[in-house]
Formats: sequence, C-alpha cells, structure tokens
Amino acid sequence: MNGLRAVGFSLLFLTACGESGEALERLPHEPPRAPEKVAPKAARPALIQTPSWSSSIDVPSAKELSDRARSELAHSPVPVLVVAEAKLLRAAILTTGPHWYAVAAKDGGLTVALHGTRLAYDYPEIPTAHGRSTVRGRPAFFTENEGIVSASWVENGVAYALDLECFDRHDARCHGAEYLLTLAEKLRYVGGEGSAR
Amino acid sequence: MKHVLVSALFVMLAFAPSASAEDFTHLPPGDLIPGSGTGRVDEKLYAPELLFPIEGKAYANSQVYMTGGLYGPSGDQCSVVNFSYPWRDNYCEERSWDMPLCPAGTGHQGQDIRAASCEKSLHVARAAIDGTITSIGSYSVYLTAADGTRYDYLHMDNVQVSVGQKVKSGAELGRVSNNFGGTSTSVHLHFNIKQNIASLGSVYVPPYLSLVKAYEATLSQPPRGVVELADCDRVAGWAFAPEQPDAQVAVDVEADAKPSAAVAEVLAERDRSDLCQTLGSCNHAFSAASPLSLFDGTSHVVRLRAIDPTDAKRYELLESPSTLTCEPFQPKGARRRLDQSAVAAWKLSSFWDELPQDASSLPVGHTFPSSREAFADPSDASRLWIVDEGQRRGLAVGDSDGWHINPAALKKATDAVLQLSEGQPFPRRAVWVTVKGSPFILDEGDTPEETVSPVDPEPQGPDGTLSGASESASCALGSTANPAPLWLLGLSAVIGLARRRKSRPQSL
Repeated sequence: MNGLRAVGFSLLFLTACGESGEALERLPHEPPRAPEKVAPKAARPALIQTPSWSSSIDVPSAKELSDRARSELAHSPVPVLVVAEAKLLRAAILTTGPHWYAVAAKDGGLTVALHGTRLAYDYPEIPTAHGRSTVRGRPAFFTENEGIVSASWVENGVAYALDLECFDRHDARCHGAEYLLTLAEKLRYVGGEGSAR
Repeated sequence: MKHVLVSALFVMLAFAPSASAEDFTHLPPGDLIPGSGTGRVDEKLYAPELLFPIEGKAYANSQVYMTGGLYGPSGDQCSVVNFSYPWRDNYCEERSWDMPLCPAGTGHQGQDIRAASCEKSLHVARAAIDGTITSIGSYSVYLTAADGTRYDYLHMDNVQVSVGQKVKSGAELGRVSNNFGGTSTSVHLHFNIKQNIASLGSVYVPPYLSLVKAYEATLSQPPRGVVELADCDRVAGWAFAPEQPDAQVAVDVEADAKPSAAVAEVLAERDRSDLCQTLGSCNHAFSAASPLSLFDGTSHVVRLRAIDPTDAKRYELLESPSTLTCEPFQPKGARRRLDQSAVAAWKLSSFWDELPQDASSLPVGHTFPSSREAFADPSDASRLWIVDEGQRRGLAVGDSDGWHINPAALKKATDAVLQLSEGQPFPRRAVWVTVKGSPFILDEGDTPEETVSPVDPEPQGPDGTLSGASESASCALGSTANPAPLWLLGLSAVIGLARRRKSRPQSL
C-alpha cells in the first residue's frame, strides 16, 4: 500500500481536458513500446466467471443499507462489496445486471462508485498484465484522470472497480491514492445471490 | 392531393443539405497528434453495438493538443479548426496513470468529443446502449450495459436521468457542457468505455473505432419513402435507399403489429416519371392491390417499412401507419385449383390474395396455370396479355398490381402469343380462396368443369385430384375458341331454373 501511495504522490496530476492556461505537468515515462497491431475481430468471446462466495456477511454494514438496496442484494450475481462508512452506506443505491452489480453513493462533495462484474471479454492477443499497485492484497490498476481517481482489481473471480469523484477539484480525497485505498481496504461483503449457498 | 404534397415535400427534404457520410473523415486508431503520445493501433470494436453518444454532428479530437488547448496552437477552443474533420484518436494521449492497453502504459483513458458547436448545454448526450444508470457524480454519468461494460460521460449538465434508471439506447442523458469539479473545461464530452478484459480486469478500453463506426451509422442515410395511398383498393407509394440508389427497396407490410401479425413484402420497383428527377432514377414506386386477408369488416392497422438493402433494418415510411376497414365481398366465378408451383410462379401469398370467405359453393374450373406467361401488348401500352389454357386473355396495365406484375419488366408479346385466340378478360386481381384445405383462384371468365351445390362434397378423385371426367370436360372446353359465353349462358339458365324451382314452394 505504501508503494502505491508513493506512486500516487510521486506522479503528477495531469488534467485530461484542461483549457488553455491550466497548470499541467508532464512526467518522464517509460520509453513507448511499438504500437500493437491487432487483427480485426468479428465476435467478442465472453467468459462468465464463477465467483467465490464467502459465508461471512458483514451484517452491521448490511443493516445500514436502505431497504431498497438490501432487497436488491439478492439479485446480484457477484459478491457485493460496499464501502464501510455509515453515511455512504445509508446513501448507497444498489443496481444489478445479469452479470454485475454497482453501488453509487454521495456524501457531500464526494461521489463513490463501486462496480463488480463476472463477465470478461477474452482477447487472446491482449497479454496478461498486472497493475503496479495493490488493493486488498491484489495487484491493481490505479488511475487518476479527469479529476476521478479509480482502482480496479480482481477478487474471487470478480473484476471490481472503485471510483471517487469530487465536486471540488481541490478536494484531497480525489488526489492521489491515499483516500481511495483507505476506502478500498475497508470494503465490506454484504451478500449477493450466491451468499446463501 | 395530400399524399402528392407530402411526397413532394419529403423528396425536397430528402435532398436538403445535411451531414453525409461523404463529408466525414477520420484518422486511423492510434494516430495521435505528433508529440501527444503513442497511440494504440487497434482495429478491434470493443463496443460494436454502440450508438453514437451525441446527437448531430460531432468532432472527436484532443482538448489539450488542438487549437486553444494547453499544448496546442494558440487560439480559441471554439476555433473552427476544432470543429472540423478529420477525427483523431486521443485515447492514449499522454497522461501519467495506469493504462495497460496504451503502448506507454499510461494514457488519457477515453476519447474527447466536441458536439456540433462550442455552445454548452445545447447538444444532447444520449445513451450509447441499453443499460442502467449506475452512478451520477458532480460531472459524470455512468451507464452500465447488460454485459457489465460501463460507459462514462463526463462534463455534462442538465442531466435527465437518475441512478438506478434503466434507459434505452438513444435516450437523452443530459447536455454536452464543460462541468469539471466546480470549475470548467472546454465544452466537450469525455467518453470512456470501461470493460472487463480477461487478461487484465476492468480497464478503460479504446473507444475510438467503436465511436467511428457508430458515427458513420449516424451519418448514413437510411431508406426513405412515403405511403401515398392505403385504402381498400390499393396500397401505393415509393421507397428509395439513398446509399444504394440503383437498388429496388423491399417494403415490409405488417398488419396489426401483433406477434402473430401478418407480414408481407412488396418491392418498390415500378417506374414513375415524377420520381426520376428527384431521386435520380425512376423505378422506386410500389403499388399493390390491398391485402384481401384484411377484408373481414374489422379495422386493421397497416404499417409499411422500407427494408435497408444493406443491413435489413426497417424504417417506417412517412404517412404510415394506415387503418384499413374493408368489407368482405361475395366470391364469384369458377374456382380454379392452384398448385404450389403456381403460388410461387404468380407470387401469390395468403396475406395479399387470400379472401377469408367461404367459396365452396362455386363451381370448379380449370386448374390455374402453374407458370405465369404475361406479355406487354406491342400495340397497346395499356394492356397486357396473359396466356391461359391456350388462349390469350387481356389485363389492363392498371390492374397489374392485383397480380403482382410489374408491367415494365414484361417482354412484348410475340406473334405466336398474338395469334392465340382471345379469351375472356383476365380477372382484375388474384382472389385466392381455400376450400377444404385446398387453394383455388377465382375466375369469372373461366369455364367450370362442373357445378357444385353448397352441400355437395368436393368433386375429387381418390387422390384428391379432379376426376377424369372433369379433366376431359376441361380439355374439351379449353380447346374451344370462346367457350365462356356459352358456358355462362348455360350456367345462368341452370341457376335460374334452380332458383325458380326453389322459390316456387316458398311463394306458395
């Protein structure tokens, strides 16, 4: 985690779409690799992963959810992780799809979006790569762009992504990885359609 | 008159200046502005079903390296050059953070897209796919599709949706603007696609080529046309595919839009002089006798849609749908047995030609010709000749719709055809009836092989064919130069006698 913090704080923020005059700095980076030429593909082979379900639901966190969110839990095809902060839990709106769930919550100027999916597209020509960061003990990609910080990792067969967006671009919670990682480490498992198996 | 005006107006609109696929140009995926990073050359469509996320014209290009951007030429972000083609990829434009699919390992994540103008809060950002709104931040909207792929819209305002709302592709989500965390950026949409890749996990995937394809689809000009007439006589209009001007567009005709709806097609293939100049070619009209299957005295909603010859998508014609309420009519004439080869040869269908009426009391005539021999009259443009049982029978060109005949496609009658004896006029339209599961065509000018009383069983041989005696009679009559009048007189006499015999006891 410290490594990620170090990376997060050492990399300078670049505004993606800044107007003329915005303070942007460019960093030295690795020499660019040769562009990767990929043959056109007509179909997208999809893989449906089978998630691993835990039997230890965090009941206190589940109780903080709204009735509507709790009722939606049973429809999630993947284990539902939620942020642990009570305010965010109470504000959480849970949505589900055939292969995914998503949680959105706002607290003041912060918007938290958490998403987990079991459907993956398998492109053999895209080599395996792991993020340089670590989230919940797993390799993770960490990005910060357009004022949104996000991390993505794979846990128990499910691809999760956590995004933070701040109304105030100077809000420290949306700069660097520190706050994002704090939230990620405290994510709680609250159920899903396989939780009773 | 109304339909003519609509048609004329529509033709004018169809050729009004507008964005076209010809105007649109784009640089290939991975071709970034020099000095802005190293792009990913990738021909894969990560979102092949994408609908372009902005209504109207749009310009995909960098906000940072184009005119008025921090690293771009000096000038204004609203400069005309920023609102011009070609499009340019900026998915891997230089940034600092993890982007495993970019050659540098870092990049911009998404594609910047300017709407048709620099004005904020004007241009509609719309759902790129059917899905659920899964998050709305202070300047972001996330739309998640059924497959879990997430589409991120940044910098919008006037957001029209809420978290949890399910939206259909094309639904308005908000307006393209410059919102950016309590401050502002240039007016544009930053569009990300976040997808779970088996070898990586959830990452931002290249959106550029999917956007190009979606935009091209937006600019493409679908088939168009007008229903000029839809009543109990005929259904007529025109349909045209601007991108394939020489193609003859099929028009899908659907009644009542139910799962069990009757559907048929008519080909817009007929010449019409008023279409020549405006459409560039003349043979795009369609005309068909109204579908007899709907002649049951109840109302039917009839929709006509042009079928795109490229991808078979349907586009409803102007003035569609129409409501038809057509009264049933009493079948008349002899019924002529129809075999399967005749159904195909004469392009008959139960939707267009089958009258839902009982015709079992009608006499059985000659078997209907199994092949269609139709010719233009070399000396009379208003008449066709149909060869039937060794005779030539006349049909007005105006009635050719009723037999699914395109007069312009007919060969001229040869001397051999013109030397055939002239029979009774051919029926004005195909009327197909079904008696005891067998199809027949009604023909008032045909000679019956035998009369059938309403209570008599169908006169068939053991194998379901007509009896040998009937066949013999048919041949004998068929070789007569003009047998029908004699037969009609005979039949009238028989029927008249029968009626008198029946009516006599009633009058007593």
